[in-house]
Amino acid sequence: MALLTVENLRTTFRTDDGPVGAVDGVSLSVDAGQVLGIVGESGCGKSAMSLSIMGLLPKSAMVEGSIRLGDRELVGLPGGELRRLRGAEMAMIFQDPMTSLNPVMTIGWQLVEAVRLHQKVSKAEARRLAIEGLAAVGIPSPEDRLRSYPLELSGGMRQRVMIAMALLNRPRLLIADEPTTALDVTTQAQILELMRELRREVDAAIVLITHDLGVVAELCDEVAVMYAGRVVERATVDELFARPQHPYTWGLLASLPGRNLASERLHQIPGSPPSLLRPPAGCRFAARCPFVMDVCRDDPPPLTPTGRGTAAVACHLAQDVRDREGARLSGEERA
Amino acid sequence: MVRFLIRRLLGGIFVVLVVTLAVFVLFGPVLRWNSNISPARLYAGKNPSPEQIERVSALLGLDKPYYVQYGYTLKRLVLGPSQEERERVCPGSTAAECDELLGRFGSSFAKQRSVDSLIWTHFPVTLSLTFVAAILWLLISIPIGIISAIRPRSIFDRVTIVFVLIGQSLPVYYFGLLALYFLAYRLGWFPLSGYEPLSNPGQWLYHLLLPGLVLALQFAAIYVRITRSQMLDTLSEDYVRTARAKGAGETRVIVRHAFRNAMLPIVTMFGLDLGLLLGGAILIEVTFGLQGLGWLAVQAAQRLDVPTTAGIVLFSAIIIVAANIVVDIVNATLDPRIRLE
Repeated sequence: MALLTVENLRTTFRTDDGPVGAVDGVSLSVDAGQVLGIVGESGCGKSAMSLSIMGLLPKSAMVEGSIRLGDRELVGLPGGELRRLRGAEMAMIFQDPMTSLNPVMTIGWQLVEAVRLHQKVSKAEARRLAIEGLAAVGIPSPEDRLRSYPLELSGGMRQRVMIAMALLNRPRLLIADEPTTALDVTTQAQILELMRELRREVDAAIVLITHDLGVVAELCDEVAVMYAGRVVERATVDELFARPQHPYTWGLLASLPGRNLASERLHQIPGSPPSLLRPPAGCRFAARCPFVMDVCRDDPPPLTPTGRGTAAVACHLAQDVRDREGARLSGEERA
Repeated sequence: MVRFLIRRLLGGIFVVLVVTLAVFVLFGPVLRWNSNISPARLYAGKNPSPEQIERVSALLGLDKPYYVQYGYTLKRLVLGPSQEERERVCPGSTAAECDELLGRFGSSFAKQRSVDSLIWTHFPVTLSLTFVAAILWLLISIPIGIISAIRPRSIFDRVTIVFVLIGQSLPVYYFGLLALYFLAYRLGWFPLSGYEPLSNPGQWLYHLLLPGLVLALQFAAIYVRITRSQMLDTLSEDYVRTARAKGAGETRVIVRHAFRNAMLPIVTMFGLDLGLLLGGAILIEVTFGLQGLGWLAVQAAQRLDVPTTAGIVLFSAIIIVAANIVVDIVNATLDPRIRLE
C-alpha cells in the first residue's frame, strides 16, 4: 500500500484579483522506500503541492481533495493533530539553507528543539540524538557544531543540518523542495550523494521536488511532470527517459545541456506558462505546443495510462505519434 | 567581544569629550558674545559694582583664558574639584560641606549648592518616571503589536492603527492635561501632582502611574507600529516556516522564533529612548509637577543658572552615550551576527 496518496488535490489561493488554482486536480502516490520526483518549471505548483501536504500554507489558501499519509486523511485534519505529524511522521527540507535556519539560535538548540517537540526525552538524550544526526549527514566534529550559529557554517553544511533535522524523528515521509538549487555546483553534488546514501538507509518515502532532470535521473524511482498546476506525465525514471510521452516533457529534455553539444544553443520552449488566474479551457500547454491540434484548445486531456507499467500521460496526440517523437528525442539525446 | 567593548568604550569617551567642548563653548564664549551674558555678572547679584564682578571672576576662575578654563572644566569633571578651587570657593568649610557647594559639574548660581547634588536630588524622579513608563509601554505595545501582526488587516489591527495614530498625534502636554483634569481632578483616581520617594513604594507608584501612563501611551504608539512591522517581516521568513515544519506550536513559533528575531531592532530603539528620557522628560515633568531633571533644566534655564543648565546637558549626554554602549552590548549578546562579525 502506498505511504502517501494524493487524490485530485486542488490548492487555491485567494488573491485580490480572484482565486488562483496553483494545484488543479493532482493525483499521485509514493511507496515507502521510493523516491518520487516532481518536475516542472517555477510556478507549476510543485511547492504549493508540497506545502499542502505538510499543511504549511497560509489560511488564505484552500486545499481540497484527499491527501492520505498511510491510512490517515490529512485534508481537514485539525491544526493540532497536523502539527503532531509535522516533523515526526513527515518532514521537509527547503530550498535555501541560508535562510531556513533561525539565525539567532545555535544549531544545537534547533536540533534539540526538533527532537523534544516529538519525543519525550531528556535534554541530554536529545543532544545525543542531535550529535548522532549530524554525524549521519557527514558533519565533522558534530559535538562542536552544536554550539555554532548558522552563519558560521557554509551553505552545504547548513543544508546538511537541515537534512539531519528533518530526519531526527525518523519520518515516514520526507519532502525535499529543491534541496540543491541554492547551492553551488560542487556542493550540489555532495548533497545529492548524501541523499543517495540516506535513501538506502532511511526507509522513508521521499518526494523530491526539482526543476533539474539531472537530479531526477540520479535519485528518483518515479517521476511526475507538472505543468501549470497539473500532472501532464507520470512514469518510472527509466520509462520517462526512454520514451517520454508529453510534448512538454520533450521540451524539458531537449533543453537539457547535452554533453557533446557545447557549441550549440540550448533549446527553449517558446512562450510562457498560462496565467493560473484565468487558465485556458483545454490543455494548458496548448499555446506552446508544437503539435497542437484543435481538440487541445477545447478539451483538457485526462491523465491516461499508456499501457507500459504505471506510466500515464495527459495528451491528445495518438500513441504512435507520441512513441515516435519520444523515441526520436531520446535517441538524439543518446547520440 | 572584548575588543568590541573596548572600541565602543573609547568611541563613547570621544563623543563625551566632543560634547564637553560644545557645552563649554556654548555656555561660555557664545553666551558672552552673542547675548552679552557674563556668568560672573550673573553670579554677583543685583546691580554689582565693577569691583564685585572682578572679584567673582577671580573666584570662579573666569579671569583665565578660555583654553585654561576648558582644561580645568574637563579636569574637574574627571577628577573632581581641585584643592585650590575648594579653598577659593568654600574657604574654611569641611570637605563634606564643600561637596555640597562644589562638585564635578561646578556650583549652581541660583542656589548655594553644587550642580552634582542638584542632579542627584532630581535624577531619581526622572529615573522612576522613566522606569514606570517604560514598563507600561512595553506591556502595552508588544502584545498589541504581535497580535496585530498575526492578524493583519483584522478589525483588531485596524482599531489599533487608529489608536496608534491618535497616540502619536496628541501632544503630551495636551493629553497630559486632559488626563489630569478628568482622571485626577474630576474622578480623583490619581494625585494632581508631586512625587513620593521609593521608600514608600505604594505612594511612589500611585504618584507615578498617571504621568507614566501618559508618557507610555506616546511611546506605546510607536512601539506598536515597530513591533507589528518587525513581526510581519519575521513571520514570513524561511526559518519561521522551518519551525512550523518541525511541528512547533503556533505560540512557540511566534515567541521563540519570530519574536526572538523581531525584538532585535526593538531593543535598540528601547535603549536609545530610555537614554533620551533619562536626560529629563521636560514636558511631562512640568505638566505633572514632577521635580525631575527636565523640571530642573527648565528652572535653571529660566534663572540663567548657567552651570546647572550646562551640567544637565552634559549629564544627559553622558547618559545617552552610555545607553548607546549598553544597547550595543545587549545587541551583541542577543544577535550572534553582530557578535561574530
